[in-house]
Amino acid sequence: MKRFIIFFVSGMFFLWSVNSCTKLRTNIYDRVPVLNFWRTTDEIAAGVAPVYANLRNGIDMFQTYPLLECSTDEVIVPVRGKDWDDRSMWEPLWKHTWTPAHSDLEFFWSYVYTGSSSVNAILKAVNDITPRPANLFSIQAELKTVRAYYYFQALDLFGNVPVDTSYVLSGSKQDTTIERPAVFAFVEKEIKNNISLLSKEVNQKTYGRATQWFAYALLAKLYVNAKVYSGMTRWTDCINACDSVLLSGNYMLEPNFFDNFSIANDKSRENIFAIPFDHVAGLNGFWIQAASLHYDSWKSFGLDGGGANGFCSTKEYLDIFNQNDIRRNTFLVGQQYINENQYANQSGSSDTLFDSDSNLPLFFDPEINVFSLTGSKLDMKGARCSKWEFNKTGGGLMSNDFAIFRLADIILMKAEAQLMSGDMNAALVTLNKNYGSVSIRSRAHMPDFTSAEMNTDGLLAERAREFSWEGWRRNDMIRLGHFTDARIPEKTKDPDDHFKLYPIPEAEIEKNPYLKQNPGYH
Amino acid sequence: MGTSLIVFQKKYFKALALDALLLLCLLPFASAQNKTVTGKVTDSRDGLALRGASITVKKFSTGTETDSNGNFSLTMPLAVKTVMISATGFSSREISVAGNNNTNIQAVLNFSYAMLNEVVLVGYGVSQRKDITGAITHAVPKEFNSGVITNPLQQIQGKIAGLVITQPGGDPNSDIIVRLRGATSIEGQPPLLVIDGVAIDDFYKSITTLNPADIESFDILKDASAAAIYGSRGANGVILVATKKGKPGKTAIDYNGFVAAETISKEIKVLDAAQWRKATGDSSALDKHGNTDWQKAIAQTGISHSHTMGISGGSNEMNYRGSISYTKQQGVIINTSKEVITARLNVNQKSLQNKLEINYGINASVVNRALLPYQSSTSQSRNGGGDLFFSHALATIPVVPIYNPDGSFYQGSDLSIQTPVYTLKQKYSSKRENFFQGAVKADYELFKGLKAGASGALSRGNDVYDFFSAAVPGTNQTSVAAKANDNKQDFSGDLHANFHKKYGKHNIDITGVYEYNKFINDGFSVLASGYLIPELLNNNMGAATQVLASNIPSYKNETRLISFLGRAVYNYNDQYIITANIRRDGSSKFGPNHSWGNFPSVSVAWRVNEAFFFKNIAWLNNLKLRVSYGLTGNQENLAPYPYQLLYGPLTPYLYNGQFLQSYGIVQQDNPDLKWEVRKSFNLGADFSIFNDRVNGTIDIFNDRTNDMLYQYNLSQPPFLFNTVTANAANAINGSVEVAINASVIRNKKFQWNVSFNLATLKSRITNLSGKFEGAVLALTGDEQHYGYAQGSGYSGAYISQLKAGYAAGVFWIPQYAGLDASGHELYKNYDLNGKLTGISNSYTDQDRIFIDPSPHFTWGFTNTFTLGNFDGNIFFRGVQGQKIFANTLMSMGAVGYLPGSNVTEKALTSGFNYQPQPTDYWLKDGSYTRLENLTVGYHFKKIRGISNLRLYLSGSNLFVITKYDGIDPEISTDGTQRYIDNNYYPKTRGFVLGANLVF
Repeated sequence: MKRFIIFFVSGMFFLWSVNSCTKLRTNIYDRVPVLNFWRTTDEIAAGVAPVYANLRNGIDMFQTYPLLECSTDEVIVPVRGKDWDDRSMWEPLWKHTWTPAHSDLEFFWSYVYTGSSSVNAILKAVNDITPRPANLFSIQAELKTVRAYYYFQALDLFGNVPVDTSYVLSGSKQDTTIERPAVFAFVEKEIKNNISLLSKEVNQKTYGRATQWFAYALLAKLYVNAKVYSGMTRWTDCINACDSVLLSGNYMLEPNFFDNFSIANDKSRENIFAIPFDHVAGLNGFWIQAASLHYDSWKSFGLDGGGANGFCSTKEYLDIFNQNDIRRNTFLVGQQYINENQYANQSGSSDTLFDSDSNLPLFFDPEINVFSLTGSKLDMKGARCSKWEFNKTGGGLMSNDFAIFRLADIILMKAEAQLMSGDMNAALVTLNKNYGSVSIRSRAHMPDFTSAEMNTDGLLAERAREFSWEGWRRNDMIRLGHFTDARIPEKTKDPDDHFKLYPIPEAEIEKNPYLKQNPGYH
Repeated sequence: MGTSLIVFQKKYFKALALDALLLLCLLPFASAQNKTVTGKVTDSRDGLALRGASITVKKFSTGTETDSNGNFSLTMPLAVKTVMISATGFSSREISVAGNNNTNIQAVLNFSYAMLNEVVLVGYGVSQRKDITGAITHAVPKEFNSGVITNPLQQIQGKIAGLVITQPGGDPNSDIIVRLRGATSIEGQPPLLVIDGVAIDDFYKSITTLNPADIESFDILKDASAAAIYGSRGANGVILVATKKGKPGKTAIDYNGFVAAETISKEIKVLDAAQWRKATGDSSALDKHGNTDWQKAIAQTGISHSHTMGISGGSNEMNYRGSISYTKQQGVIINTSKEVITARLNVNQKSLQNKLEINYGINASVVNRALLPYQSSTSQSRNGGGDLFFSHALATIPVVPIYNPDGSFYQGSDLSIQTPVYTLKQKYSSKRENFFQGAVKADYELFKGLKAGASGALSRGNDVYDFFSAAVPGTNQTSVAAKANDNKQDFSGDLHANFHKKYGKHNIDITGVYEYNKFINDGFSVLASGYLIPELLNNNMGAATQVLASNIPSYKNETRLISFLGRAVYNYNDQYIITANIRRDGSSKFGPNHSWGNFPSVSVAWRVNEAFFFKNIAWLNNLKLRVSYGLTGNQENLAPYPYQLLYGPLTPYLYNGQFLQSYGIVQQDNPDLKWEVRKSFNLGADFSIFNDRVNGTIDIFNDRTNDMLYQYNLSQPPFLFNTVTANAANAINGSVEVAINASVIRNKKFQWNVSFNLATLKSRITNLSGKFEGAVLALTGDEQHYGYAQGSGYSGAYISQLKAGYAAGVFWIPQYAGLDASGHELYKNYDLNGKLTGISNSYTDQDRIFIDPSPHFTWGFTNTFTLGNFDGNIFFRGVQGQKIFANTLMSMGAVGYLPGSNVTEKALTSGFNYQPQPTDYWLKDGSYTRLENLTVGYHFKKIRGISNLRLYLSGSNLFVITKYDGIDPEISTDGTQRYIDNNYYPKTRGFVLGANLVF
């Protein structure tokens, strides 16, 4: 027994004392514990990039985009028999019956705060660099401006939100709700404090990045909505911000409207800020064509991926467009054809495209009278979006960049601010002026904007024609009116205004009891 | 190795010298004066010869085994006075062979129904059943199921209380689900598998590559005290597997094999072509004038065969067993199959007067799988398979033909139709799995009572997955090729010492172990598209026209586990037995401050029948009461580096006209991450009564799991990520397990034994929230919404939850309240207080109710018969009280789906016109009773040159009694889609003709 104890104890003691026998630290192979980074311009670009890459999540068709568009008159996702009856998702958005449990709310919240928290984390990393990079202040300013854009979106959708600018690794900090006007003030201050440090260059290097012009566009957007956000109008500030962009001489209207939406739209001279997408390089998340096109539409356009037959627009919305307005080509309506011979059917006798489910000719009919469609033509209802050039490869993933700010928006914002400050004539001048070789109306093959149209409804309609499906409809309708209106099909007028703010996601309130729910929701 | 090495070497040489001396003294004596003892050993029950009984001589390293006629012959020194005769399952006997003459003895061994002397593996040692203090179940081949057995665990499915083995569907390439006493973590994990003393990293891989015919025994360690010896990885229980070993004596050649035919056991009643035409009226546009039963069209009779050849033998100093096996199992769906080739060699060598014992084990296997289209892994079919193939097949309308008149596949005029048969035959999806393991273990008896040893095992696994899908001419489908390669490299080693000593009535047994495990995983995969020549498959992937950087991922990681453990067993007079364990486990997955955890356990057994006041109760042969309490740590499901702040590639971005890769923080680090702890309490009793004719075991346990590791939600802001791996939730598992065996009839001609087991299981998550760095941790949104209804129109249709107060995956669904006049569904509506307010056409989360789908109990009932040379086995097993969400029936359950999709016959009468919502209407009683196995065998005795031949006929899954109207109520009980029946590979019914042959 004694011998055993001596043997056992000495053995265990030996094993314990020999380092290698108790060494648990393992090699890390496919990650690194320390990022020795930030030494060259390219490395800084790679380190800053995550805050831009995250922007792609802001227009995901199933997660974030629906909050921007599907609660308005612009985009509807009706139930089509067996398809798209994802009740908890689409119907509440169209009918304005959503609750704080709606899954898209959590997606949008997470998108915004992943973006702003990434900025916080990267700012900390940047501040710790030794030796200090020469352009430290401009890197900081760029990051803070992108963060301001994220907070602008939180301000716009959720209104009363927490604002956090520090990167925490530990500590028991709980963020509390800040009232909407204070969030507005924060975003304004952040932009103004950093704007002078941002790059003024407009070239390949600054494409897709926060420049001074992006900051002015964002300021203009903030001021044009100032009444909604803070209760106070800021029309003069809005006009000044717009002028900073307009007078910079960097931008012009593209003579061909649809050049702004081509696959090569990074060449557009109208884009002030766009989110780059490229399905070959893996910059993915933009798939309007797949979300909107019919299952058989690939035969019309020679695509390698079918549509999901979901997102579309109603007749009432299309009626905003004059028949001659070139921007009406945003939509596919009527009979569809097989355009490319290689995809012609075996008999080759007809170019008419048939719906392979019902075997009826495929005819896009924008008239939608009920939300849950029935009958043999249910798959053909709704006008389809063809605003962005279709990508023939990529299985539905698109390679067009998605513009957040185009010069046309600056022009329309300025006109609106001028009108609202009481100067209708100036507004008309702004709107009907050529920027480059065309005006907004002339390139649409439409006559000049008249004084009869120059009112909030007229501007809202023009914005619909110009920016449809571009993610601004909710913002525009809340500012210019009609967001809460009754709509065909089946939407009744909102009982009150509380749907103009989305609720704080239920999940977030569960995780952070200090957050306050927006009025009208529980 | 410092001091201890010197100590060790000194002892070694001392012992060696002593042995040499002894040997010198004995050798001349032994060779000079010998006698030969011959004899015959018979079975007390039938008087028939007992094969394989061992005859040993104490103190002399000699022994032999009886042949098939029960005869033996053994030469031994004259001085030998007694021989020990023993056989598994029989009480051992010591028989006198005193005297100087050659002797002939006749020994009758008594069959021990309670198997008290049965050797039970306990981890780093063996014990006798009577001395076990923890909850351990031992299973040997004679209790095994027969049938189409391609996985060793099928042999004990339903046989062991508390070990729930589920085979969702009949996919030969599906992993079976194994849970011992419920899930430990939220997701649950299979028990740890230890094969011949080597703990295996990958449960599913190692169980598939283990040949069923090579198994000598299973030992299931259920409670914390029993599992403690494998504690760092034993929180989910442990299955110890012993493979067959060679025995001293004549070389034995054995063959086990079977051929089997399997068919689909049940089809779903969907509309045939005539019914479809009648129901759809004039939908002639879709009518392609076919008449196809798609369930039959994709089915085949699966022919399987399996052959195992084993050769064993050896002397007292060295014995061996080598086996090689080949199994080919065809699925009942065309183009699915599994082929397994394994080779195993065990060698056991004793030398230096039996003081040194060395075991070698080599195990190599190859598995070739033909998978379903888009099924890339064996675990996929547990979660409903790849790409919802069966859902599509069921919904394909019956008026589409399979082939054109010229024999080519029918694809419709515009080539857009891909029928299920086309998909099965045209997609290439296969997997090759190679596995190699070498293990060595050496033990040396340093001095009497003290053994020390070391072992090491190295295993390597390599999986190659191949996929090719050809472009469909005239359609938008481009060709896609993929290849994936995954490697596992595990090293495990241990140093162990065991001390055993008897002081009068006091027995002490102490074991100390140091364990070291290292696991390295790496791999890569490639996926590309745009190939012009389909004949190349994925064999020339450079011909791609399209490759995305994100489609060529690779990875490599490493984890380590180190443990120190001690076990002490104290036995007083065979009446009171105490086992105490203490272990200290370290894992590289936790940060430096939390790597190590201490996990003690203790168990006590009292053999009541040994007490004086029970000695006179004749009918009570054995009664043992056991109680145990212990802690085990768990970290199995964790990723390799969850506690660390790590940087890595994120997504690509555009900069200066170029697409570049961005880098940043990849996960929320949690330096406070620590061991999940399961505290388990077990109360048990083993009894044997009426002359050992009835014996049984009852266990009651109550386990609490604390600090459960999971990916929790984190508030954002302030954190960078909205999830973090952390310790928070708690859960309890409680149950009663009963197992009873009885020998109903036993006489020379006819024996009838029954065994019955039953286990309940109540699992409940008691808490799901916690703290992380002062902030609230919770499960919210998608993480809380657990299972989803599947199918088009059902995206985001959550139907189950993780919720405190309920079992994981509790259903959370609205209540169906009939249809209104227009055929729209009605639902029950509730107010915030849960009070019924009425019915309407809509529901919100407020109207959902919780329904726990887990069964009330599971059971198994076996009858075995022996009549002369015939043997028979009837085995029923069942599950009572489980609920199943009939997703397949729901997504085919409305006439509104016609004409484009097929529907069930029931849809014609159920009244559903529109898409049915996932309500409690589709939640069905999934209780069932299955005739799992019916076997009749015959022993041919006295055939020249063959010592034993048994032929058997066996039927598997002959019938199921259930109210459930889906294909089969046995579906996945783990993962997020637990208890949701959708897209399962059909269950099978099989008939087997098999042979067991010994030369």
